Amino acid sequence: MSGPSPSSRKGLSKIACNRLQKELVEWQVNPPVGFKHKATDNLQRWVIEVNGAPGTLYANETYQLQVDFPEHYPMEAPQVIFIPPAPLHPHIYSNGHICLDILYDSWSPAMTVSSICISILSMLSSSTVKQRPADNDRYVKNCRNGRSPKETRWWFHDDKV
Amino acid sequence: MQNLEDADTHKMTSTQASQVEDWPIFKDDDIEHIMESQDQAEVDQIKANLEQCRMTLQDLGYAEFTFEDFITSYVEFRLTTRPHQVEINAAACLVVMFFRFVTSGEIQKRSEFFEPFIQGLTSASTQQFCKSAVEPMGEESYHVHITTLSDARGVPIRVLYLDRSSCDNGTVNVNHHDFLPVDRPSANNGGAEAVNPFITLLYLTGHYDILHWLGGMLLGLKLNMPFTCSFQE
Repeated sequence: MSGPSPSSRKGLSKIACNRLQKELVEWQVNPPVGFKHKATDNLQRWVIEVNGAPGTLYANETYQLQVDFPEHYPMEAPQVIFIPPAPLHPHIYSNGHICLDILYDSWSPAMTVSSICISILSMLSSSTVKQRPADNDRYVKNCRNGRSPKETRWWFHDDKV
Repeated sequence: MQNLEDADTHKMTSTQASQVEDWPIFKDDDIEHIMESQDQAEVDQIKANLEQCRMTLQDLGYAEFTFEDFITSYVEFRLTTRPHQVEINAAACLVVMFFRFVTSGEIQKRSEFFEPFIQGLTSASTQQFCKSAVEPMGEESYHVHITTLSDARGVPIRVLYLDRSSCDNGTVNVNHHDFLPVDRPSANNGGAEAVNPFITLLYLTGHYDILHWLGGMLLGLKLNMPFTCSFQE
């Protein structure tokens, strides 16, 4: 289970392609601490290894993020999910979907893959309890048809974690 | 603010604009104005203005690749002849984002000046306000945004709005408020050299329509925006 394949969607626009190549170069020069981009020849889908920060609940744990870019990136947000098994976190569903405002309504083209990664690590690091969201089972069941998290109407109400 | 005395002589029509459309407020009229004037000095000023914007964003720590494509799109949009409607819509979104960058950069650069206004809207810091209420596409344009953009681009804007408080006698007043860039001398001395805003917007709750002068009439035009940022089931 890893969401809709990019091959089933439109390819990247010229601007998106150009921007992603620059982001990739920047990433290689200056990668965010705790993340490793797994090299592939697919510019439209990045797989990134995340290492839990030392001294947090997720220390010594490794997870994988999958980032799919839409045709009009960066005008539209990328789709970012954890490839299951996803970390146990009050805002991360067992199917890997992440409830984080910057991935949806609050996305802006001023953000980058690198800044998303930093936000996700910060979200993990500030967690005080390892547990799934209260509505995990219902949500995951509703996503069985392969629905993208970008089609979810998220409700952001907890700014503590 | 004052009554628009000659409002009755203007036949105004408008069509509803989408939320995203609130932003490309300088696009059409600004370009038409430049193309009409074809003034080299003005072109040079635009270039200097863009360079200023680039430096502001760099100084604030924005990675160049996050904004350079939007500057390029803006320049292309201004220098090339009108493309097809579809391309206009796609290009307009990039231009809107360019203006969002300009606004965000200007607010943060002059954060001491804008802080009191922003504190009236939200408890967020100036920087947080820019990240959450200026940079994301689809966020509404408030007084702060328009003031900033007008200042940063040096473009005066007139916003018309309907005053319904006088509705009891069956009439609706059309009022207006002019946003005059602070670095224009006439904005401060208010006298000798009256600024005539060549961009006129009609404010209706939640959005602005662009009004165009056409054969002596003020008309509202609708542009369809391609990708609004709504993620609904």
